[in-house]
Amino acid sequence: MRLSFILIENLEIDLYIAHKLIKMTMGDDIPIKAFMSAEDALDHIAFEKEKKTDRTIILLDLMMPRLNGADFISLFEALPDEITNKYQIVIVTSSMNKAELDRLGNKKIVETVITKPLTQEKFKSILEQIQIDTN
Amino acid sequence: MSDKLKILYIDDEPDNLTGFKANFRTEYRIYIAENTIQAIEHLQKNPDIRVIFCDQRMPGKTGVEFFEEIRTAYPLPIRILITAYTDIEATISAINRGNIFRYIRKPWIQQDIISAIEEGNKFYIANSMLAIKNEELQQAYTELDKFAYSVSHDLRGPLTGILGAIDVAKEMSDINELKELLVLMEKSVFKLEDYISSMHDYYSSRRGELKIVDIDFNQVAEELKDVYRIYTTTNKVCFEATVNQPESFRSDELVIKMILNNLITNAIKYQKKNFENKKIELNISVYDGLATILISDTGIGIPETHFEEIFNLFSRATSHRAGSGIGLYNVKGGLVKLGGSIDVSSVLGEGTVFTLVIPSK
Repeated sequence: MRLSFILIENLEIDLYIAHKLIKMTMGDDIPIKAFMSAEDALDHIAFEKEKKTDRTIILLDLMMPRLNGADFISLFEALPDEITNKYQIVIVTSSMNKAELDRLGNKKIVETVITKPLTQEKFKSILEQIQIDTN
Repeated sequence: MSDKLKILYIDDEPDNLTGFKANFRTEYRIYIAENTIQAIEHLQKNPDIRVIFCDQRMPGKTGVEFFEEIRTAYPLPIRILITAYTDIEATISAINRGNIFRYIRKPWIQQDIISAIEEGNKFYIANSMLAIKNEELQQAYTELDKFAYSVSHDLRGPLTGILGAIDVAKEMSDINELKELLVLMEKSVFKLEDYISSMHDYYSSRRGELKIVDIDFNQVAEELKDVYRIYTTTNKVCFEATVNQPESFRSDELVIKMILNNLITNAIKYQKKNFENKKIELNISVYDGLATILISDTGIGIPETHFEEIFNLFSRATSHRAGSGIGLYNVKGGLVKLGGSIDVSSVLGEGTVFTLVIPSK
């Protein structure tokens, strides 16, 4: 299965780490698109600019100025099914608001919720959860 | 006349009303009512009535019933029942249902009424103070909530970033990649340090008393230029300051510097990337006891829809270079303490001008 990634994160360092971890684990050829604003990411997805792969994983930060992660999810959910069903969202956050995380984690399109920092171990567990052979 | 305490007296006997008014009109502003309908009209027109005296025995409605009825709509005035009967039942229900402050036996003597008004007024003032303190406490709670939220983002965020970077760094062998990562880690550390120093500003500006001294804006501007020389040189920003101060100016120097520091740091931080003529202008003029300070930049600008909220605690107007959301809140707080004001005008992509007006103390 061909995979691609979309990163939505306003902190430079976290963006860099996620980028590095994906390349380290999956190899240099894996397509990654990084966005520092959720609005730009939403445009990219809504206008179907994402490269055609079998599935795209969105690593989504929650606490971002302007359009935050939770609002992004609401807007994303409103997109047509033929767009959204190519995606799976993984929330990557430093938030400790359990109620909010439970609420978002229970959404159909949200695969899982990961607490920052994103590490190799956590990234591998994400891949396992999406049932993909990492080798 | 307006300084007099407002007293409302309700009695169905007109003689009692005129007698009451005649006795106390020089000391207090007296409103009289023959029935409870008139009484409520007075309360509607004069929400600042302090003490209400009401006769217990009236046709239609007893004093206790009246007090019980107005308790929710007019909770502030002090309620005092006047009764001709040493009726223990009426008194008990007056206390329980009408929540009265005192009761006075009829026929009343002047001294009883005066003492009831004075004591009632003290109680009213204490209650009002309590309400104000409650509101302040509520505000403090709200800010504490916001603080708790911001701790997880602004303190925990950079920290988890550094932790994540360390985890990745363990697997890296390319020294250049490692250095790249170190630069990012350094940025996170600076962010933490920034946050802590603005928290410090926040608390000292809230708790501290003002220290009024003579302020020489020429000297302040020179200091600012020195402090920001490193940043303006490395970021290739031209920083110009002009001061026109023909008269003396008195204010709190630390607060003024805190305000200017925050605004200039923002002006440096929110410059456009890859723009040739980055510029910040500081213009201070003092006339007729007013300092007018203009800080303009050629930065990314602020959308007009955000003008109001940028001064709120933990608000951020931009998604790309997020600050702590405390800086402008501190600026506003500082200006309030100095009795000054701030205005912002901005064109997206062109720049921002902050205009401050501060009166000399």
